[in-house]
Amino acid sequence: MTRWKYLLTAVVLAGLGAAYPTLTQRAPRQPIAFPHKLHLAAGMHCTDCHRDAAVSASAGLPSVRECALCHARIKTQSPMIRQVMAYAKRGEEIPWQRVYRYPKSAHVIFRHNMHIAAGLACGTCHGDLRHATTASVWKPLDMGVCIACHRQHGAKVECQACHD
Amino acid sequence: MSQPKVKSAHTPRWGMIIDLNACTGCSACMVACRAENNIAITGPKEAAYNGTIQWMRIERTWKGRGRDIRVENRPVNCQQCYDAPCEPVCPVLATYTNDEGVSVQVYNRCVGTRYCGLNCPYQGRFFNWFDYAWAPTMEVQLNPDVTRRTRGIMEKCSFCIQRITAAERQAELEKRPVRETDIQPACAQSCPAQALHFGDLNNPDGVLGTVWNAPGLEVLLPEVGTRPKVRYARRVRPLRAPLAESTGNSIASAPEVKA
Repeated sequence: MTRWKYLLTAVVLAGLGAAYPTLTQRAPRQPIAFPHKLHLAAGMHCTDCHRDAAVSASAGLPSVRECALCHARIKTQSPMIRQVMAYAKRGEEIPWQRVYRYPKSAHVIFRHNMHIAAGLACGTCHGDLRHATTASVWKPLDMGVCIACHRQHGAKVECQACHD
Repeated sequence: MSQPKVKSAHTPRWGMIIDLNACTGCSACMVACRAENNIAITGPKEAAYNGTIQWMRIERTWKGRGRDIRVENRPVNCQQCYDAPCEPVCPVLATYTNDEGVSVQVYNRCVGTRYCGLNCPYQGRFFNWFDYAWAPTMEVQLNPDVTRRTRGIMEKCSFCIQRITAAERQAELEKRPVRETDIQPACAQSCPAQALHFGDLNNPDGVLGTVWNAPGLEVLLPEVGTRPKVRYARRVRPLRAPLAESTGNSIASAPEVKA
């Protein structure tokens, strides 16, 4: 009997351990449910808004003024667009919440440009946003995920390649 | 499993020569290092307990006496030893020498035992006893390429590893080997007297390779046997005419001996 209890505890603990990144990394609630799928279906590309992804470490978020540039004419009657335009009129940025982040103690600076230069698609980590509204933690980030991919593609696995 | 990455024929080995003849002790290297590497200002209370963090410091020594006194300024950073005493004592392998000869500190792996700091004969390692705050005006000048160290982490000069890796990434994007002239640590870049020379020791025709074994170069504490990759060009003084008037004991003013 006790052996079964030990086994059960071990299985539960192993399951929790495996699920740990998923349990701890959750997408926060966004102020506006930005529909990625509509924008991608309209023929836009990731880097049209996340402009710095190919050239710099951070991918970048567009200012609300850039939203307003297009939406001054497009779908102006939609209630969500009205919210966006209200932000733009107030001169206030939309308080987007960060989805992917490393813990401070990881001392990692993720460099988007290196990964794009290596030929990785955005969806490798961020998932296929053609079917998603807001971004979610599609691939929970822990070092195992990073290292597995680095090994598979022959990228650097030295500490200082990622941890500065 | 993984395929070992094919290495290029040339692996650099980074080193530094500090020219004591050129150094004026202006401390620009200290300031530049602090700005580049997001080094916390620990404040006067910590400084009283020897808790100042400065990866690059200038040691000032006085030589001679009386009118012949002279000052020697010696910039001291992590000496990047070949046989680094800090490395074997780390229980979690948070510090190691990478392929390119840079002794690196892996902050996320460090658990703060401080053995490495105790074993360093050059006092080149500094411990974060607290989470140090930055003033709002200082916050905006933080270098985005370097993380901020948190409490309980040892830190030290890394030869500006972020600049080395950035140059290597750039070379990788441009599909060419990395050139040693691409890289300059913040201290060498800021030095107005150009006393600090950074380069590749594996390149015999490079900035450092040509002079690395010159007899005028010295290392700090050679008796410890750490074999640093930082060498100092010893201060050379021109010969002076004897001070005849003041001392009165030179040959010219010596009284003639009559037979």
